[in-house]
Amino acid sequence: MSRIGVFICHCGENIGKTVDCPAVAAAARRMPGVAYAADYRYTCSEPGQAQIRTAIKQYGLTGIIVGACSPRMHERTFRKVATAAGLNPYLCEIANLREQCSWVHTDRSAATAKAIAIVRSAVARVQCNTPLLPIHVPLTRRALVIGGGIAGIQAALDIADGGVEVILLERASSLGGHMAQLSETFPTLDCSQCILTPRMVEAASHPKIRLETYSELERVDGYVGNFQVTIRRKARYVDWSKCTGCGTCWQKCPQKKIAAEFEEGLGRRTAISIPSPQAVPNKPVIDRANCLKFKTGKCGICQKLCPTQAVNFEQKDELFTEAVGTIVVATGFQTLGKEYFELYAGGDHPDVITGLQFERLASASGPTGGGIRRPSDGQEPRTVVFVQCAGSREPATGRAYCSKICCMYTAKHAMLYRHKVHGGRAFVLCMDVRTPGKGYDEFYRRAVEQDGVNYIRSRAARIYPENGQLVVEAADTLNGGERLELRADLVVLASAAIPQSDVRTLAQKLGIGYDADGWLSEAHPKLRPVETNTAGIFLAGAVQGPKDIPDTVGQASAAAAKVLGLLSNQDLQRDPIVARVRRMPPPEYSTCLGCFACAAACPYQAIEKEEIKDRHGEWIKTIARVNAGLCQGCGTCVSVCRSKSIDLDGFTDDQMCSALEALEV
Amino acid sequence: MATPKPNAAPLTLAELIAQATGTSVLHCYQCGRCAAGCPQNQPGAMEISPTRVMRLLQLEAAFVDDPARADGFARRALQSPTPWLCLGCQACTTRCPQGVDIAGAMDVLRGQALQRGLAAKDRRSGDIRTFHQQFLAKALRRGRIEELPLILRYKLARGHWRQDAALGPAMLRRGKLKLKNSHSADTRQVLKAIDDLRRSPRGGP
Repeated sequence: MSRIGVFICHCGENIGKTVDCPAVAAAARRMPGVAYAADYRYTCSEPGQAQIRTAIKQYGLTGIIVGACSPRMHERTFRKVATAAGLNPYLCEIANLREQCSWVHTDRSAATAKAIAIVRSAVARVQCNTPLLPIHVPLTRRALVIGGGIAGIQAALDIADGGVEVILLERASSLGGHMAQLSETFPTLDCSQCILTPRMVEAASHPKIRLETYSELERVDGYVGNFQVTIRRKARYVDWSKCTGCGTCWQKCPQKKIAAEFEEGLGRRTAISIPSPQAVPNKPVIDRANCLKFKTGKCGICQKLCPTQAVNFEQKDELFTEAVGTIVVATGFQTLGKEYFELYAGGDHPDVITGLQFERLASASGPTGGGIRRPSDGQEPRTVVFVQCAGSREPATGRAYCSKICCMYTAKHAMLYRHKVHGGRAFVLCMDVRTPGKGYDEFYRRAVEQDGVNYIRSRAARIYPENGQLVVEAADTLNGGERLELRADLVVLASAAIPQSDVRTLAQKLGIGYDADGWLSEAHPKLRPVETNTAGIFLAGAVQGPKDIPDTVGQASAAAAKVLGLLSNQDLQRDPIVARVRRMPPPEYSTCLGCFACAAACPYQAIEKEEIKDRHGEWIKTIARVNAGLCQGCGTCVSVCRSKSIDLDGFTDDQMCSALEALEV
Repeated sequence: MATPKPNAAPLTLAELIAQATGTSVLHCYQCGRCAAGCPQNQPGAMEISPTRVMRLLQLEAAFVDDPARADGFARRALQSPTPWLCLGCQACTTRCPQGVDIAGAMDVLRGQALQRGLAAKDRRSGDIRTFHQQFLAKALRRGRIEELPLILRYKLARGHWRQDAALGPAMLRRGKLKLKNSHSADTRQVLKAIDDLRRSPRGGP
């Protein structure tokens, strides 16, 4: 005979205001199998928990029901309480009296009657519960970091410093990401490369980090602790084990006019190239689409001149698989190209550039050696207009969000311009200036007060060329919205930060979520900012939303801490809520007919085939078996099984049917 | 491309204000606190708020390469009645989070408006301006103000004899208006002090 304890929580006023909790407890006391029932104002508080512990011991309870908030909120809490009192945690069930009752009703007597029905159902269910034990899963103490920008570098270094081996995957040939392209960084104006390249070198030379650049993630199998990742190492057409990075090939390559991606199209590169002189690893790849050898079959100069015979036109993509326990996704962001802005000089005017292009102009290693020159004629611009919120905060065109970094980098750009071009005029068109962060507002005010940058509160309506200049149509909303036309020699668009174009494909490979804008979703916006909803996969940096460098580095270190925390366990304990194929004694062994409809339905590839053989090794039948390590307990297999041979522990047919039957009055 | 401003170009109002007050209107971030606390900025009473005056001065400075446009902004600040309506109560200056001496700026604008012949022409501003000028003229000549002659001279200039006339007897009774002329004990010394102030780097009246 079961002895069930029922604990009804008032949740302060949340439940108590609408539901007569003492009456629910009194009704529960009369239900069959209930040995004890009580109500309390805050059952999740320490005195509330003590009440449960005491009752379990005093009345020898064999199961408990807590009538409270959603199980998502406190099921774990109350199961821990049960464990502390010596009761198997899976003998504790939650009756949701808040989200499913008090919060959605106003009629007190009807709500109370419904609460009693919910409790009755839970009491019937818990009597069918069986004790379950956590599942232990082995763990691979190795991590994969996807993305070699500052987020990936930081995460990889922190994980590696914690003693765990890391594979750092980057699809470009060099580490560095966007940060390598930046000139100076706000709010301290220290040179981006000066602070980044040492980290790149450190990552490349760390004994625990294995660099896989010019490589992409092909597929992911497995689950937390036991991922199998397949990596595609793209053909570089250069044998990096022989290459010394001497530079002969890219100096001699005749294809010199290719727009350099690293220079955002403002500089040129060769067909065999490294992205920048600071590249790590400092080894070239051949861009097949632009290489004369691949296009015409003639040339091959690089191969002839290479002192180590490293050039190999026959090289092919390589696929290989690695076992890792956790994955950090740090693939970053991109920015809207200027072609998106048709109203801004047709989206193709050479003197309308993006913020990232301005970074290359201002960078000492950039195509102008750090001189601010307008792309059309190489002249030094006397007036520059910076347009903030270009593509951001514009629900009408599909992006309602603020790109977060532009206010600060525009202040920086205007400041750098004023430092570099004596007597030059800088205008910033802004909606408002958002500079939360240590030293950030001071930085922006410095741009205005010390460096004489003129801020005008307005969005640019239209930009058009006239007499070798660009006319920017604006208004001064601080001067009554009076129209203000600005004549500029150069216009810099603080274009919106947007997700990488293939981030959705990546998310689908990893089985993680993304929001309507395409930023990867964290498990909880406040309390679980680096976890995803898939165990063992973490986020770092702008892939989760626009972020500046300090925030990115902070999140990367946080992701690394999560990885190290997870991998510090001997093995993984998992909730035993998994499906199980029912077995019975010979000669049936199981009612499973081996149709494997379950295998087709399972989203986690958790259904395996099991061959049943007699003692002589003779095959009798093949039935389904659930891999408890892969099963996520979704129950899809249960619903498709035609012979009712699969059950879900913790949600068995018995439990569910009893709960439903108890609802019928 | 516009050429940089030659050195000989006249100073902007922002620069003149910086010389006179030691604070820069370019620091104004348009929070509106001066306009919010200005006792003269009653609904309908002030065309251009002190905040807006600051903005016009910023715009003049921003477009210094485009003299016609810069001059347009400067004129609107100088021609507005706002500097004349300013009581000099200093509430704005005291409260400005950026430390801009707004009341001081208004004083510079009054001086510049008179110098450039741009002072607001409406009746209210005219009254205030006349009083302002007569007050200063007297003070600078005699080192001291005598209320009765000042008022008589003001009424003569503006013509509205009956305005405030009812206050006269009460002011006489309380000794606010004296019928007898009073002179400073040492007029020469007061005038010298004013002169010294004028020569000082921060400038004087």
